[in-house]
Amino acid sequence: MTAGLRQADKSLFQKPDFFTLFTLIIGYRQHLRVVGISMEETLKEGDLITYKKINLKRINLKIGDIVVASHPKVKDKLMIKRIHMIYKNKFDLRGDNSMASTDSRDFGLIELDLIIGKVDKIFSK
Amino acid sequence: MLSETLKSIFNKLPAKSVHAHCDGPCGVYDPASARVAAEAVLSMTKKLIALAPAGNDQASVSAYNNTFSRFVAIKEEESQKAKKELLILWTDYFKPEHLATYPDLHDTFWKAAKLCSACKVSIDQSKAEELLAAVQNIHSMFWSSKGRSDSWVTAS
Repeated sequence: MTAGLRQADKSLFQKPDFFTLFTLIIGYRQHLRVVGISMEETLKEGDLITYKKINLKRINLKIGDIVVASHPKVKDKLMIKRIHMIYKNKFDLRGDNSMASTDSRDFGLIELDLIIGKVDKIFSK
Repeated sequence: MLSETLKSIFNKLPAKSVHAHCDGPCGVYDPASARVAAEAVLSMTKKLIALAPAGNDQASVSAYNNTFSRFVAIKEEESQKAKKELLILWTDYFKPEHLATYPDLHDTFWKAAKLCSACKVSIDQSKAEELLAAVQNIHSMFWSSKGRSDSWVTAS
């Protein structure tokens, strides 16, 4: 177990490009717009993120990854958090803005099947 | 030109929301709620101590009993309200990270909650004053955690 990274992975930040747009159009990647401040060390409200859906046969999640997950208590609500710790197949998800984040400190560890995708690109607003 | 166009497309791209959320957004919390309740407890405690029947006749005793009961009920209710407001601040607003700055945070809240109970079980002005002082201490911790130094102002 290693403590999760607090600093954003700068390589995720990219400039808009045709290739990404194409991958979004054909459905190779999914995209979402960030709402809220709990990831504010890294993500600002209005930023666009892209992610690839988790392949359950080849899970490649590690501490420090930013993930999209279903909220464990609110139906149809997606949240974005960073993996802080991994305990077998359960994930401790935290917001980078720890003073203003509702995360695993409140709702506990998240099961793998609630994690939808791993953020692979961030486009600042 | 091309990059600007692409940026514009990405900014306007229809997208579902993903929540980097905080169930209790900062600003919703305020120790003022606990302060008002603690002030009410102190006020009712003082009134109870000062209360005496106007006479020994049945009407005076009945009036005294009625007023006494009402004052006790309000003191009970406001003590419980103060405890609830303090517990919300303790468990929802303050995060483990705050412990580094306020190492006595848990002890402060625990003792304040205990004082709420003490104010319920007795008519003790010193306990009610201790409760108000504890809420004032929490007021200072709360606002300093937000980088502010709001004045402590009481209603009474």
